[in-house]
Amino acid sequence: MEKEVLIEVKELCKSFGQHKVLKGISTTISKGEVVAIIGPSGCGKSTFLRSLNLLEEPTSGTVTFEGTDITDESVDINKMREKMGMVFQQFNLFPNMTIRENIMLAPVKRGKMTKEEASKRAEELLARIGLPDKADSYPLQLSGGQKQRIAIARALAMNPDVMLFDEPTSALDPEMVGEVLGLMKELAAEGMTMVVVTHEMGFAREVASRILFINEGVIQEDNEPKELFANPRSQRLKDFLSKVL
Amino acid sequence: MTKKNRKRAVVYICVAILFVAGIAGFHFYKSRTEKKKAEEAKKNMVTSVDDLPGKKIGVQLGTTGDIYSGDYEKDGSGTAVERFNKGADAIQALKVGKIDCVIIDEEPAKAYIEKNAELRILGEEFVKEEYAICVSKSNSELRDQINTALGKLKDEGVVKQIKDYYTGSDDVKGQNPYQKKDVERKNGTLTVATNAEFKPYEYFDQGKIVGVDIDIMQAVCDELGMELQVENMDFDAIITAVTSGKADVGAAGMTVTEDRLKSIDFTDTYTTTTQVIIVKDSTAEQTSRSFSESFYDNFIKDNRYEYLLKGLGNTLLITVFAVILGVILGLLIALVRTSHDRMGSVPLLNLICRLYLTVMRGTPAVVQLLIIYYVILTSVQNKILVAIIGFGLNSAAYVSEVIRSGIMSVDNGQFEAGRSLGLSYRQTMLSIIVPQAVKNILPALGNEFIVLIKETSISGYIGLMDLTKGGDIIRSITYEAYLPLYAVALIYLVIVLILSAGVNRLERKLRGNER
Repeated sequence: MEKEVLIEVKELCKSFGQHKVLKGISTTISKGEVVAIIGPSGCGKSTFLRSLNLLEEPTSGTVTFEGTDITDESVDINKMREKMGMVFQQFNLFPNMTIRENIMLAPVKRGKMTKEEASKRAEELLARIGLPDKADSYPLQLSGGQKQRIAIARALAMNPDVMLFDEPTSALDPEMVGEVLGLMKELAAEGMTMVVVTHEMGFAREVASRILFINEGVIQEDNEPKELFANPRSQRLKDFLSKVL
Repeated sequence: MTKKNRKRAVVYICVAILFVAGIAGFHFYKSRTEKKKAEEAKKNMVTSVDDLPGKKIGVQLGTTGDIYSGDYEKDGSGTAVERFNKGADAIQALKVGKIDCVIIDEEPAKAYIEKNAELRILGEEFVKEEYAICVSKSNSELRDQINTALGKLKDEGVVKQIKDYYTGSDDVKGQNPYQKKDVERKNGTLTVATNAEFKPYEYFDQGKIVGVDIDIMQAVCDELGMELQVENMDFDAIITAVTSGKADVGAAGMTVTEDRLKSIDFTDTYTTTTQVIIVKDSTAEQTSRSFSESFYDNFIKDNRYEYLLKGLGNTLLITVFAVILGVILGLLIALVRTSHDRMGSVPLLNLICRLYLTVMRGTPAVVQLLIIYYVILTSVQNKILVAIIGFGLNSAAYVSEVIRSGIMSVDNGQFEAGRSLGLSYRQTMLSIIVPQAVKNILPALGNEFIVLIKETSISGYIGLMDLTKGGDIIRSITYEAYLPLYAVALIYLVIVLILSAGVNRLERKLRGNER
């Protein structure tokens, strides 16, 4: 059975001034896939991820999401982003709002739910991530791992079709990495399409259905985890794996 | 009371004590230097017109005294003419020995020395002159109408009746006031600009402007079938007000001079008066009054405290609405500027905003206020509205930069998080960034409001009675500087202290939820 294509990226380039970060990236991401993106720092993997929901505007190339070319200026990008959840390295919870308000904000502001519905949804999500008693706390009262789980819940509140993770565990104390990865594993098991920029090779190997190795602005290798880890084709990937594993 | 509150109460009490101690110390120092000054004053004694060269002459800005004494300034004798906005200020300067004499119209001069035993009028007249009503050059029709009415009033003895009532000899003075006639007033309103600090021609009496000029204008209005409206402003602003159409005519004991005829027309004259010289009489005994007497005279008598109360009300009204206008407009400007900085959009709007900021921050608020009143909003008669707009526009420039810095201080990740959830730029700004920005800038914003409340003290320039002007009016009635000025200062201080405490409280409340 042919898998349904969710995101299609064609010849994506991005420059910051003179500095070319992405030099023509093409790939497709199908529904239900869990794609891990790995690579040395500064290789452009975060920029690539952020281009998928246009937080970075590509210099050239196209990103097609569910059949719509979102780089087209006539497209309402906000509508598209409603269906693409994003989780950041630094959590980026809104410090002036309670956890409940953090989760409710987008569904209510975007007219997806009434306040009552959104509040109920927030409680469901908090129960699901195991933090049911934190609804009325403020972000500053929480640990890093709790914050990141709530950031995931906040993105899930919009019922997205894909979740983008930008190094979700890099800012966490080691003992908190597990709880966040655990939640992500659950999401993957439920069939959520995920694109994850990560340094957690264990997670990539175990959870990802596919791994992209990006180096110097291009996808150098694109393979199933087992294959990629067992038989790296390029010298660069071999070097990289030898350093991180 | 918590420990913190107690601490702050102590601070406030200390401030108040310092304030009072400062005043007391100053007065002690003053009484010691008084003697030295008296000797100096003797040396600079003016006893006749011939003594004027080389002296410090006080005049009211724009009066004939100003124009004539200006000649002494040019003759190289070292004469200095000090121009005051109000006659009463000149008198106060004379009393404290800052100037050697004051040249002013005879009638107000009489009123001044009546209240100040140490002052006297020189027997020799400075110059004789005639008063008339000024009318815009483009309005000769109105001038002719007033002339006809004035002629009739002179013939009927009404002008004499009014003058007798205010300035006549003891047997007629205060006997037979002019009564407003009961006529149909279908010919509109006659707006009369005046400077109500010129007794007996125009002055405040129990909160109302009265005087010879006012009664004459009332009689003229009765003749013309018009409604009289009196606008109080600085003397030197009257001609501008008439030429700019803010007022129809000016009636303020105004002498016809060559210079004035260049910019404005005059009706026939209605009275003759004399400019006299007031000097400090060194032989007279220093009348020192007790504090309670002085307090009674300045605040209690004739309910004079009401000038301060009403002024305070206006000051607060202007400040509150100017703050609201300033914050709304400032926020809009800040949003335009930041969205331009972030996305390069709206280049034209951004340019306009930057131009606005440059002009508003590059020119004094008082000049802006005058321009808005006399040039831009010429048809708006409500001075409080003009002041709100003026101060609001000015404040917006400063507030916008404060808000902009606050927006910049919010982590960019907050912005990205909002956008990644599908919120539009505007939704992200208004529901995520601005609330956090406001919290960051609250101290700076509070400071801006404190500056604004004090800045409104220049409202008097457009003749609006704010707190400062209220104190000025009391001074012009009682000829005492200390108490009204201290009272005004103390009231400002108290408002500012209350405001600071409020801002602190709000700040702590907003920060509380993050700790």
